[in-house]
Amino acid sequence: MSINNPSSDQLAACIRQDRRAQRQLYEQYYSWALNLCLRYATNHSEAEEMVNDGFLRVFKGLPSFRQQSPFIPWMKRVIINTAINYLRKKRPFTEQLNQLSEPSVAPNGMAKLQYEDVLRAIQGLPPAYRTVFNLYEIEGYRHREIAQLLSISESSSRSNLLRAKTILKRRFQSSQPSLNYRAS
Amino acid sequence: MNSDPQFWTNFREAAQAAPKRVPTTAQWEALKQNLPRAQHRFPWLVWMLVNLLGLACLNTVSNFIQAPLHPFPLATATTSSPVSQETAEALSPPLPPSTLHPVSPFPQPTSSTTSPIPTVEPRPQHANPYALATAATASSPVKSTFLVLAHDSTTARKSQLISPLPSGIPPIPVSFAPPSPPPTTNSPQKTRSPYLSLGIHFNPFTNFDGRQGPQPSLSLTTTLAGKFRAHFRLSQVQTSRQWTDFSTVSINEFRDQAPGLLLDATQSDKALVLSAAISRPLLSGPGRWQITSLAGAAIALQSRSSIELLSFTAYGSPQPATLTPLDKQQSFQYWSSFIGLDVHYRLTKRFDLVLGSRYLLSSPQLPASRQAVFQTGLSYRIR
Repeated sequence: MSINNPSSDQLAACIRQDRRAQRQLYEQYYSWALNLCLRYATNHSEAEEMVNDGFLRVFKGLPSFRQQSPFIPWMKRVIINTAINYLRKKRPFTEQLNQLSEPSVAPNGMAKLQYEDVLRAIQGLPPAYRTVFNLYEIEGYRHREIAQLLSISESSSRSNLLRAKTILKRRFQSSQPSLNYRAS
Repeated sequence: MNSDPQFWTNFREAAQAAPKRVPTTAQWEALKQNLPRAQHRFPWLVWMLVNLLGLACLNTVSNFIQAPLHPFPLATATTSSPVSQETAEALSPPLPPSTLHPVSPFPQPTSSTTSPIPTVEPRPQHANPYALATAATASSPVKSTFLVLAHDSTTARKSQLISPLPSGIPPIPVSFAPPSPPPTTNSPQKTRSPYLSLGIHFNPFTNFDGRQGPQPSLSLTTTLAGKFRAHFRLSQVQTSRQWTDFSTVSINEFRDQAPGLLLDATQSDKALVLSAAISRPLLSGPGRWQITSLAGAAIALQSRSSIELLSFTAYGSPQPATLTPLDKQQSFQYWSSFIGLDVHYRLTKRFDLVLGSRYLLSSPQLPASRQAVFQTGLSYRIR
């Protein structure tokens, strides 16, 4: 899903606390932000809270945003940080390692990975695994960055990622014999 | 197993192939409530429009309620027989002290609508400042009501209806309907002697800066050029740390019945506050009380080095400023506009009770919880 950067006029209006521009920006990026937060949250309502917290931080932080730099990566970073803080408030990542939810993947019988199945599988991971997996595998962070972001060691980040991937692959393999199809 | 790149590529793509979602209005409203207050693109324009609107509303309310609430028929310019200047002067020549007698502080409605001129009682020199006299014009049986407000104090609202002086000056006809004759240039107010007032304000509720409590003051009031009133005030404002002295100079233009203009400058060692307001009497009750609407704006100029106490002027109709400090983060150049109502009640000949309420408009520097003000004051006049 490709998204476009907002215009400088729109950002300027948001900085002036123009409600119309803010709402436009909110609606423009809501879907993208929600789908991002859904991967970090345990459920949909938690993701919605993350999204609104994230947008609040985006709007409050806009005056300090340098408009020469691209907006989307900045906004993505703000929202991810918000999601991580949200999870951290519940319990530090170092204490979440042993939480392992039951597999909740419901294979739909099709021979390809479906968004809903993947999302449920990710949301079924323990928060510490889930966060590291998202940051590394989906967002493209490095282990050093993840370690700094989550206040854990790099080895913990690697370990969490490995365990997350093991869990995920086991779940899909147990439900579907062959998953090596391209997702369309 | 975990190093299967194709699987994870598929997984990534599937994880990002999310359907389009649309936020609900409730979600946006929830977010909007937490957003910082909106800043208008043209704050001065909004400020002016809001002020004009507020004044128009107050005047509309005034026009709507004046008839049923005012206890007497009022002489207005719309009647067939307005009170002329000559008549007013003829009705109130200075009388020898032996012929004077006090007039009741409360309104005395006349029983007949055809009262001739001689039924008018001239105002005695030492009458109650709120004394009322009724009169009729020579050419018409329409009654006129004169309200005399020869009073002022630190915290009192210097009513726009004020003008007659104790030295045999004709009272000014009270009317809520414009226009009225402007005061003459040789107004006897020139001769009015200055007087002192001791006053104290009290804010029972949290003010702009979270401060509440007493504010003692001493003021000297006199008139300038017959049509302006000058007010010098020394007051103390209690901040969280200490009592701070302020001096206020306000100049009030007398314009009977029409909206009056107040220019005000207040200085302290921390700030200079300039403000302007328009006030208009709304109602005069039975003798002892009066309600005045007000709409004004203020700006505080401070130096960047003095940030502990920033002041803001919020005042009523022609009256001294009330200072409220702001904290460091709120601005170096603070502006605000406001509307409000003041109620002035005469307790005794020398004591005045004042109630004031104000609501600030377009004050993005202030949190919403501190944009309304209520205060009460008591003052004592020393002749």
